[in-house]
Amino acid sequence: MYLHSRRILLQKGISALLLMLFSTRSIAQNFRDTDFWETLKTLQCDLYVVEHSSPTYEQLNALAYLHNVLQQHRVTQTHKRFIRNGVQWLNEAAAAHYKKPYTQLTPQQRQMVLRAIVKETWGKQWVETILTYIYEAMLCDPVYGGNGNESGWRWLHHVPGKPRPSKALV
Amino acid sequence: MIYDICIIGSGAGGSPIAYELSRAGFKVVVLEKGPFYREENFTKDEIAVSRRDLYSPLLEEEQHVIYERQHEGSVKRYVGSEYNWSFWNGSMVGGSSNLMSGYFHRLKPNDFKLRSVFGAIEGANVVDWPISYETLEPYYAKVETVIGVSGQVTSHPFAEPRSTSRFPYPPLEENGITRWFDAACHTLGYHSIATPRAILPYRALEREGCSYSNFCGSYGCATGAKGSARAALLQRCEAQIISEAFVFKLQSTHNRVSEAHYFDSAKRVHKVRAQIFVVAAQAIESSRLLLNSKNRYFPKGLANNSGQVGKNLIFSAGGAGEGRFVFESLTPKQQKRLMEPGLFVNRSLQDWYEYAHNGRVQKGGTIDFLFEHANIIARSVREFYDGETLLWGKALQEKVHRKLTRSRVLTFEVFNDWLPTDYCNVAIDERVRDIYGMPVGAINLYAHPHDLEVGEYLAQHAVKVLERMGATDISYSISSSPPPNLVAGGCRFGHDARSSVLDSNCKAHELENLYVTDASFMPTGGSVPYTWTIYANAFRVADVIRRHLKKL
Repeated sequence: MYLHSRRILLQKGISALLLMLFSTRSIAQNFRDTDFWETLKTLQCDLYVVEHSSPTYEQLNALAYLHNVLQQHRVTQTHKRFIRNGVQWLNEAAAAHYKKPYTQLTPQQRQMVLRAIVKETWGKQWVETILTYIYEAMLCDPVYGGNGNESGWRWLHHVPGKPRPSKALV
Repeated sequence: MIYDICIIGSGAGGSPIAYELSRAGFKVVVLEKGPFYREENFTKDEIAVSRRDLYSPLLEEEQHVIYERQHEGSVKRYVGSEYNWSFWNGSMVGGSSNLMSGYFHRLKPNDFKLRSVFGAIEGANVVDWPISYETLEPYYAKVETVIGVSGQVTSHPFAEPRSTSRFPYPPLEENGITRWFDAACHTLGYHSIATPRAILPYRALEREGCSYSNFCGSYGCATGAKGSARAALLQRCEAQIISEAFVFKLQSTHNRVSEAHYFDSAKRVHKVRAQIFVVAAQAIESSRLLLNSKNRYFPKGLANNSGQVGKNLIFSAGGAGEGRFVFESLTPKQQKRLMEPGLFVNRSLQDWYEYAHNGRVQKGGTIDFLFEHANIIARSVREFYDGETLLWGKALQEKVHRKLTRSRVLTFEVFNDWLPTDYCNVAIDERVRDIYGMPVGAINLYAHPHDLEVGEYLAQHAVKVLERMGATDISYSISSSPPPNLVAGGCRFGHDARSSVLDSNCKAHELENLYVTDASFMPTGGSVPYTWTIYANAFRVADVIRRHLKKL
């Protein structure tokens, strides 16, 4: 574990550079909050597929979890801005390909849009970010609002370390 | 009030002084920048601890500026908060020793005389230490009993001399994979070493034994079994500890430090007076404090008329690698044994601590073997990619499920010397200030190419062990990226006041009552994690300070 931080650093350095590049890009102001969360919910369901042994989307509680992330003070404003801006860019990409917002596309069209945006630097970084918070929601201690009934841990046969947190610290 | 001793920093460098001197009846105060967490505050909370870095300052508030020198000579500037590049590690009472894994290795006798034994290396400022292994050995032994080191003495070609025949505590319980490891090493002719750990296997020293929680490194220990400076020392002595006290300046005359000035959490300034001051704020921050404490007597920074403060910063060189053990190649019994949580691997190799290369013997290093960290989110996130392709949906979920439930990763970490050079040091960046308004530390980074060659050599041997054990997906990375949790140097000790900051007792050459006892004193780092040596040296200096105080 001594060298763990060295490896994390390499990943973070790249991520930070991308966030710097893209978080300040201007976005249109006519995007409503309801559209924002609806888009994220649709996207999360496109990125996470429920199968017989895996947790349900409801057990993940991934949308509420992401909402909490955007309130956490240990998450930088730059990172939060990147998440928010990415939703707008996703819709811009959907409109460019199909002239419709992301939520109004068919599942096949949405996958096409995703495959297109991950070819771009911002898109790959942003989708990875959204995926990361889905997996955080699935595998966090339930005190953070995700991992309902510890379904994520059971799915991966994970034994949590003890003592477990009694409340969310971030 | 005038204390006998004021210690800045409560980690492995400062706490032995607090422990020894307070138990000897002296008035000791410890000023610690971080909060005071105790056993009951530590949980295995991956979100808070590992994913949100709960134990580090927010970089928007406190950071470093990094100047990375490329091999062709150009320099890139990184403002830490903009690049999420942190050099903090364990900002709390007890410091980073709370979060260590406790892999404890002593330095070897030749580590104290690197220049004499192995000769000069072009572009590197390698020097001998002003003390020998024999001087430090009794203190290594003391750490074993006071901090609590468990293990089994193993005979091997580079085993260091010991004054005792065994460790005071027996080895921790081990996962069955250690038998595969030992067998592979036996076949290859390598000497498998049972890694000593600063972890108590059972209740002792007024602390509980290890609970085998499966979450050790990066996490605070909820039982107190891990030999952190807080659990093993500060909680067992009467030293006064003031937490959330950020010391930003030491005031001095021409030859004595008179006061330490600190901000509390409300940014109010306080002043502490003492007979003796000990700086142990972690290598980078100790140099920063001295450099930020310049005055009319020390215009380049406290104890820095030689210009040596901050120079010859070093890290642990090396890297990490891994191999995967998959169910398809194991019997059901082996599968069960492999997946058993909590038990340790605790194996190391030091067969190449010195080795012949191009007709001359040169310094090598240590390889520690351990299971991949149990953090479940981190282990899932690392499966997001198939080569360069980002996965999602069913493809990703199937991969995550298969990798995490039907295989386990054994990792290795390589430790070799980070050669000290003119280009790796600590300075002050006047353009960037922290939330207290103080200039932040500027870290000038440079890794000597020789470091990578040695790391590569060691990693290749680790790979052979993994191959012999039957691992798949074997990979490694030897890197010049500095591990922020393994930093030393900046205030070298030595006999010559022109080329070192501290004398052989870690007292500043230029000041009568200033000691530096974290890893800053180390002119070279050896090829092991530093913590045991920091502890041992601090116990040694505690004896020096005790004699010093008796003369006052």
